[in-house]
Amino acid sequence: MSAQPKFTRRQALKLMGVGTFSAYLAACAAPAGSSDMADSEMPAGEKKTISISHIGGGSVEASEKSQRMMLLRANFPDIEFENRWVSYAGYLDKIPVQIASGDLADLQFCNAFNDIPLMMENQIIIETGPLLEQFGKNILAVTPEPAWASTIYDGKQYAVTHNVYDLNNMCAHYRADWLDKLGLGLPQTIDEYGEVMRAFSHGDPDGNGQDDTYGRLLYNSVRFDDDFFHAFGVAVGHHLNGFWRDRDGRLELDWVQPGMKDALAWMSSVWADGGFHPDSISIPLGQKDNAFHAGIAGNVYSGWPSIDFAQNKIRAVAPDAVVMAGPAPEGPGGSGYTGEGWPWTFVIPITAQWPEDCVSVIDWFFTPDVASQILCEGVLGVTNKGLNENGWCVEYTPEEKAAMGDEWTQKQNEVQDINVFWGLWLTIGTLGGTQPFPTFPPDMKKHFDDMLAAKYSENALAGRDISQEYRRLTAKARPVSSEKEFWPTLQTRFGEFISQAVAGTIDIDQGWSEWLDFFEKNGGPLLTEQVNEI
Amino acid sequence: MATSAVSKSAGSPGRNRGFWAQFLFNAWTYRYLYLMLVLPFVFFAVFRFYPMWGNVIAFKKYQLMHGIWGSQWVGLKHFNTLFDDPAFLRVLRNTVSIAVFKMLFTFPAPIILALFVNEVRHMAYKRFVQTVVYVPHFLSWVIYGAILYIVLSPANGIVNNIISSLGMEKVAFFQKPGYFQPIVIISSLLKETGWAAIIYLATISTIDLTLYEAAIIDGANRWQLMRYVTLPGLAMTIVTLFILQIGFFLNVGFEQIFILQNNMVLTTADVIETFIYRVGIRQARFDFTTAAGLFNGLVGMVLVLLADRLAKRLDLPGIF
Repeated sequence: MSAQPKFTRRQALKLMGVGTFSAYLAACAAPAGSSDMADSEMPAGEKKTISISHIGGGSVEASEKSQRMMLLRANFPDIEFENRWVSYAGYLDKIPVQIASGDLADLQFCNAFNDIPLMMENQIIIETGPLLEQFGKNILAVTPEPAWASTIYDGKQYAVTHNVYDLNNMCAHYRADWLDKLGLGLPQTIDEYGEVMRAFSHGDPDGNGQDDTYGRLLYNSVRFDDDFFHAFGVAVGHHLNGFWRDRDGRLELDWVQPGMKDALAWMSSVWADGGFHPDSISIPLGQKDNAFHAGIAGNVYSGWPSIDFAQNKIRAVAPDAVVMAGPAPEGPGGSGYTGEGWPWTFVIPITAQWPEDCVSVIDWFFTPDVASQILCEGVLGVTNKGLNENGWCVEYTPEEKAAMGDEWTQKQNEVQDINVFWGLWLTIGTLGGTQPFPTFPPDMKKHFDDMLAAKYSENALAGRDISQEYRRLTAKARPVSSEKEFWPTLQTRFGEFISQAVAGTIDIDQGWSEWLDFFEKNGGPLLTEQVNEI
Repeated sequence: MATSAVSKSAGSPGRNRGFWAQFLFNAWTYRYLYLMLVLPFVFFAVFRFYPMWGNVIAFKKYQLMHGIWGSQWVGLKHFNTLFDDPAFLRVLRNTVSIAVFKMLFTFPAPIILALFVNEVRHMAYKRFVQTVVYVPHFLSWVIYGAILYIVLSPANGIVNNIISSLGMEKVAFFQKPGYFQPIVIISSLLKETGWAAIIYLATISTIDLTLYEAAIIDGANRWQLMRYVTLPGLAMTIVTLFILQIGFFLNVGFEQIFILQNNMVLTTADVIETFIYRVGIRQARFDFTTAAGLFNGLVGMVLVLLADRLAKRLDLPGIF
């Protein structure tokens, strides 16, 4: 018998039906083209739709449940908000694809230094200056003027907001109890710093009689440890983004200055003496603080708000541990910690149907009454106390959290997915990073100042002041066109060179000559020329 | 018998039809078989062949607002940029090096494992071994990479603790370029050999048992059974998988290498896929990325054709 007759016409029709249905589904999934309805009136009974792409929260469901998103929806009932959440981890890969495909949200969260040039090149975002004048008065009132520079092209502004939180919160954290045991003070100079690192590594600061401690945890590939570099008058820049300084009236990249070679030679000598944790130069970035929290290393370069967190972690293994911030060590080239600047913005693509509403929506968050509800960490009424009689949010103090014990843990578990930038990552941070707005009335400002003082330990707040005092920002205001072609290669080559130089796997003199040669032949001069033209 | 009737009519001599008439005749005669091909055909047309037109942006300065066809032609500019890039030669060398070593070690390893596992007569032990060697496949490279970092840590990794206890100097495995490629190959072997052996074990189970019986009667020992019965039974599967794998010769495993590499070892760790990711995708240079991908694909296609031809010359089954 043949199998052929078993396959009947009815079955064939069914098969074709499945195919047709699949094609129909595929057609339904195709992205809709942009509408011609921009600036037109909304038909009666229909809602405007605004999509927001952001990177806050642990999932789209979590950001949907966040207070910020709920407030937004409640206040704009005539707008349908489409929440286009992107994971923080996936952002770097997702945004170029969004740019290349044009699939941007109406309010697109992005990095001004990296992403806006790509969007400009593809001509897919609109000018926002006039819109801000008309609909963004609260935004303009709290955003410092220099913040806008990174998004001005040909005299036109292309961002809705900029981050208004700290330009720098990084500083060096020390195990103060180790310093005490070793009879050392907080290092003030780069030489003292080197001695402290060697003592942490070889002086048995934990007193267990074993050689099992280390000085500094490097920040994965030395791409972040700018406290050392500033001591020699140079810096690698936040996340190896480059650091430019005015030298005799001309902007020059620190990466090719003689101080860079001196800094690397100094770091290499400390590495050779065992002052740095041997894993830290090559482990994934996310694991960089682990050895500090485990009580194995005595120094790390991190954000000041994590001082209390780190101390609590370390106390699990060393109950007397004390963590405190120290000044940027002074060297022949000065001192400093590199600030991040103003990288985070929202932009509006040309496909947005309601650009005025896009600006109004963000501006609404910047009004004092609304900002005073969203500045607190935690989820309203769950991991914070909710709103007080004035309608301002109130956080739990560390003492109150400690007193709650397991109940606090339970509350945290309940909202843990939302607690990544509190669900909807705006360009407004939370208390600690964001200072009360200058537009706040005095009593509102005092409320948040008092809460901030109660929230962090003295050591942490001292760290905040230190990170502000030693903050250094690159003099390069915005990207230039040749970066796209040359910067990734230069960045990779430089990152490779400095990490190998510090770990002593190459000869520094030879490596330095080769790097300078590489810079000259691979777009360095053109890049420098263009940076000086803007 | 419908099939034989169809065969006779389709192939009957003396019916001198034109091409289209013959085509339509066959289409109608085998209509149900062709119908079954519709969905696979649609799938390949939509998701495999149609996107190939996108390769044209490798020859254009792709700008979103102008679309693929509206963007300006730039000829071979992106290929020139690719080949002129100072990192590319190193990237190509590393890619080929890792690909060759992976092919040398990771391709035969599952065959050998399958042959040996097949020889195990104690069923409980056989299942235990199979399970143990399969398990690593189900760990993602993120987890597996983290385990490798911990195991090989110069500070307190178990391997270095052993080295140290033997009185030798600790080794910073992830900071010396010379160790990177061996780590990649060995970790691939440990993670994927068991999983890759499944297809060979399945093929072995289809070998006619009477062949073994006949060989035993002829006096073959276990080694000879493996050599003269099992291996020839696997030959077609081996050749097919080899040719298919060689098509992805330059795809050396982005996830694994990306997770294991760091700036200290880029000299030997930077490969085409990580280069494309860093320079192309992260910078939204999709035209440049497409050029690099096209180069990768062309190399793969040439290798497949060569391997297929070589297989046929050796009287082994090819894939075309």
